Amino acid sequence: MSREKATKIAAHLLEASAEDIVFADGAVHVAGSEEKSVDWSAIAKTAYQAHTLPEDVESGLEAQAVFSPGRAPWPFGTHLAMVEVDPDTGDVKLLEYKRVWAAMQEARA
Amino acid sequence: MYPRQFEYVAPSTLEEALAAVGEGSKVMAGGMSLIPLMKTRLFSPPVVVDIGRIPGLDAISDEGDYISLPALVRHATTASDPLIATHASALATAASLTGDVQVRNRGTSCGSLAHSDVAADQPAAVIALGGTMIARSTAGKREIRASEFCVDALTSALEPDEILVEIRFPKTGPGEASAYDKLGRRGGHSDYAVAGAAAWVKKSNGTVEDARVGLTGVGTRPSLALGVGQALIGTDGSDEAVKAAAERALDDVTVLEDLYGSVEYKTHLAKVFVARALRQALASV
Repeated sequence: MSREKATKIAAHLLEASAEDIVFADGAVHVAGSEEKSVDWSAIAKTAYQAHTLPEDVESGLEAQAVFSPGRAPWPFGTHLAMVEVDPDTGDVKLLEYKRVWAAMQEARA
Repeated sequence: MYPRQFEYVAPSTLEEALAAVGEGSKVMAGGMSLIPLMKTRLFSPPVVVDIGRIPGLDAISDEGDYISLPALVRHATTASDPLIATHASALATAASLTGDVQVRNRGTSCGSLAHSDVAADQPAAVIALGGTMIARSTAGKREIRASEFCVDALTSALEPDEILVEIRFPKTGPGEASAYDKLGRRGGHSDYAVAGAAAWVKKSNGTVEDARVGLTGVGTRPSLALGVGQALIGTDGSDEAVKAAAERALDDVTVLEDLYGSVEYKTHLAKVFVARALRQALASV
C-alpha cells in the first residue's frame, strides 16, 4: 500500500510515469536516468502536504503490520484492582488500582 | 436539544416577580433543574420568570426564633454556612452532596425544594428538620409545612401564582441533632439518590423525646416517614431500637422501581439509610 502510494508521489515529484519509478539504495529514481532521484524524506514530507499532492492522492503515508511470534510470549503487564464492597448497600468503592508492567526478555516490540 | 420558544422575564424586585408569575409561567432561580427539563422538552412553560437578579434574597440569617434561608441561597452556600451547620446539619450535608461543583455554585436550595424531585437530597433534610416553607403571592404570604410541600412527582404545593421565597428552620435546642446519608446513582455519594434518608432527633435523659425522618429516592416524592419517628420516641435510641424503627421506613410509601433499583433493592436501601442517618444523628447529640 505505502509503496504504491510512494511510487505515485515520487512519479509526481520527478515528473515521470509511475511505471518508470525504481526503488534503489534508500532512494527513488527514474529508470534509465539515475540522476533524476528523490530520497524517502522528500516523499514522506510531500505525503503530508496535501496541497502539493496530485488530485487522486490522499495525504498521509502509513503502513500497519501485525507481528505474530512463533511461540506464545509472556505477558507485558497486568492490571490489579482492590475494591471495598458495602454488604448493606452493594456499593463498590475502588481503593487501589495498579498497572504492573514487566519487560519481556526477548521482546522487540 | 433546544427548548420550545418561551417568553423570558427578569424582574428586579420581588413585587415585579410576583406580578409576573401565574398560570403557565415557571419561576427560575439557578435553572439547574428547570433548564434541562425545558431542553429535553419534558416541560415547556410559555413564560420563565427569572428571579435570579432580585437583590437581598441570598443571605442565610438568624432571625431569633428561627433560621431563614431565602430563595437565592446557592447549594454551595447552604453546604458551608455556619448557621446551617449548627442548626440544620442534615441540610448542610444534603447540599454538599447535591449535583456537582457547577450545580452547587448555581442551583438554589429553595429551587431544589420547589422542583420536588423524588431523588433530590435537600427535601428529605428539610422535612426531617421540620422546616416551614414561606410562599408569597400578590395576595399575601402562606406557610406550608415541609412534610406537606412535596405532593407528587416534580410537583410541589405551590400555586401557579406563588413563589417559594424562604425556608425557615427551628433552631437546634439542647439534645437535638440531625444527619443525612444516601447511596448515589453512580455509587458512593455521587449524583441523585437511589435511596437516602435524613434524620432529626431530640434526646434527653437517655430517652429519645422526638424524632423525624425524611426519605428520598423512593416512591414519587420526598416524604416524611412518620412510623419511624413514632417507633423511636420513648426508646433509649440504642442500635436495636434504631433497627426496629427503620423497619417502619416504608409504612407510608409505595416504593417504585426505576432505572437505578428494583422495588426490593430500594426498600432495603431505604431502611439501611434510615438506620444510618438515625445512628449518626444520635451519635452527635
